[in-house]
Amino acid sequence: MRLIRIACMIAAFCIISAAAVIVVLPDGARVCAGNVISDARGNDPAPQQTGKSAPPEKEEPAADTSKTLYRVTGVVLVIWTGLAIFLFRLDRKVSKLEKEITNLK
Amino acid sequence: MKHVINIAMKSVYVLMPVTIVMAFLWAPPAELLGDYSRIIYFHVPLAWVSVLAFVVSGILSVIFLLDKKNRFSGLDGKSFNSAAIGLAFTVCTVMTGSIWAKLSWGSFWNWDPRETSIVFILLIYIAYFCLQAALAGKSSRGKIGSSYLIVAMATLPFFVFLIPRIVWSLHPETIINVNRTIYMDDQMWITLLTALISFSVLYVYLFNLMNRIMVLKHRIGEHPHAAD
Repeated sequence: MRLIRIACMIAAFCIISAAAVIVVLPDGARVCAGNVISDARGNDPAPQQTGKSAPPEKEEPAADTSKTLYRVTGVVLVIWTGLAIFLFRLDRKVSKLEKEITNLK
Repeated sequence: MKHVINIAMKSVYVLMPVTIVMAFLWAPPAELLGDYSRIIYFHVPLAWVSVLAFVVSGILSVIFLLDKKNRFSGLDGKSFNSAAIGLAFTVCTVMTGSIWAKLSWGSFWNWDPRETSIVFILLIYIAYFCLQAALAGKSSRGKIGSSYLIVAMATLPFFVFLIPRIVWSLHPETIINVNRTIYMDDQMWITLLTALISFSVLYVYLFNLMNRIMVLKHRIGEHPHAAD
């Protein structure tokens, strides 16, 4: 049951993080994703290189994006805080039980 | 030494928020993909940890089968725990990957070689848990389960490293690619590295916690009133 709880919490953390990125980001970022759809389904079979930062001309929508990114970061941090509190409390309970059992011996 | 390891494991409470802040606020958006590319800082570490967990479960199974004098206790249980964490992280990898695929390629599932490989890996490890459940209470459970995990580990290099490199894939070129060059900005690379370390520490922390719970269950079985 513990494992299922932990797995569910990690899954929730990942899904809500990803969903927060999708829902909160403005249209400026969606245009970027649209470019990739056409590239990936086009004639050029070369794999996409995702490892380069965006060129400077995209700085204008970045002002809106940065504002929303703060919101996304906040949401994800709140989720992580919940998960961390759960893990910390579980850890403390296990430590307490370990001490009790050691004392019994 | 134990104290130092304990502190290192608990550093996950600091490392993970640092990773989140770096991923969303410090790392630049990737070319073409824009801000959606930030999922990479969660998707790749999750995939890495799932492979790490499966490899650890396989290695522990090898030790369990070789340990005739029973010097290490509960290795079959530990390999079970590691495989369980690996499965949970693999499911998370598939979920984050599907969301990213929808954004980048227009569909949640494309039967890309990597996606197909991960389905096989999931099926292999789900079958392991079915096997463990079917053998519950039998003395041969540990040996059969460990043997299965070793065979499962042997299939990993084919599904994770070989097939996606042989067949053309929608996935971008891997970080460790043919040219041995990292196509990433320094900030992105540092963020990814931090995320990999954070998720690895999270795995170690969860693995340790689950093993301690397993030992506790065993001890409480010996002293039924200990938990009262």
